[in-house]
Amino acid sequence: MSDIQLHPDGEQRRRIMDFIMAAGQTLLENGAEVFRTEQTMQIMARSLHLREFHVYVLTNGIFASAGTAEISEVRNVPARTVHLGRVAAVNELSRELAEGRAGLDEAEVQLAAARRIPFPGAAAQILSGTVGSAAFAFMFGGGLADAAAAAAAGCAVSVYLWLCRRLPALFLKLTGAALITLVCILASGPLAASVNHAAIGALMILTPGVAFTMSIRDFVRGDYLSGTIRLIDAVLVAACLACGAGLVLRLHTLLTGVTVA
Amino acid sequence: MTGAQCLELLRQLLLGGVGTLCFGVLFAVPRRCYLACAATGALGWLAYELAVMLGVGAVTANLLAVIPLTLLARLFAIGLKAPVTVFLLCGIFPLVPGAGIYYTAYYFIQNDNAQMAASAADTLKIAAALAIGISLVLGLPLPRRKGRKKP
Repeated sequence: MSDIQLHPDGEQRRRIMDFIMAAGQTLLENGAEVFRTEQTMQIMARSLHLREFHVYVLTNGIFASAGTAEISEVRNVPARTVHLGRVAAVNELSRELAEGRAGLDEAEVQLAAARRIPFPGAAAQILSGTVGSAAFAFMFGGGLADAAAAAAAGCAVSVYLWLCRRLPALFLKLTGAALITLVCILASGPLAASVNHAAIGALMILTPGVAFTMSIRDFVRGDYLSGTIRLIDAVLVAACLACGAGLVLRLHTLLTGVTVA
Repeated sequence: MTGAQCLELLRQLLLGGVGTLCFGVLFAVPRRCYLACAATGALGWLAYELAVMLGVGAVTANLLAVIPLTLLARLFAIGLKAPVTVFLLCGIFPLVPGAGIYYTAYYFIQNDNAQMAASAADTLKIAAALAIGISLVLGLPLPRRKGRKKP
């Protein structure tokens, strides 16, 4: 039975606030846009009868207060991954709360479960990295040989990303791009593939497409600060990829005297 | 339209679906949304390829492709009761100029300023086209059905 109180007391209000902040953090960490995080937190506050709830969300932080600012919380959200399953789960939870189908106790349990939804296993990630690279090499105008080289590079980089997933993201992007270029150069010899077509297919795994899309959507919504943060993120990642790929190409030219086309 | 062109479009449709599905798996989309994600991406890429085949420029083709894509993402979001982000983020991946922004940075470090400016301008224009398309479709008011629904 629903345990939502119409007039929550001080202790209860604090608990609701903690719950809403945790839900917001889960959304933001896993790739929901700023606008949706704000909206979902406000809907949850309304459903749980937390009055005078105000929230301001940035790409990497949440600021909220409730009551006449008797409770206020700040969360720093530095970690950013993309796990849309968790976003969907929190969204479902917010819908259940709004319809009165779940109480606070149940919602807390469900939120904890949503935060622990695992990523797909290593095998699934490597397989989709391999197939995705090949598909994108085809889509960007490559032939069968290019797609095969891209698949090899995509497989190698997926394994690398999985093994080194604890390392800093930008370092991973730089070395990952170098690895992709290296594999593509090595594979393009026997396969007679074009390095450029193969490399861009595999590089799609690392390109900041998500950050760029989110940046566009933040700008469209009028969240210019968050949009700028994402845009800088996208540009930095692209620069890292370019440095990684450029280093390997330059080294190859130096060592063999052949410029890769 | 010739048969060869139809075949090519069909091939691109499949490729777009497969590519999008792979990225859906990497972004840990819920299982029940896999097919919808693939369909969103495939439709967007098909519209793009069709527009390019008809002789439209890349920027306009992106705008023409993102409108049906976002529309489909919204329909799936309502039908499957999942946030529109799930479908939009995966489906738009083939269109988003992730490669363009990479080429810009690449030409920058290669000291090729003319090429850099060209791909930077292209990237920016495509981004603007996507922004216009997304905001057009997401801004459309939907007829409310019974009960409260989030877009």
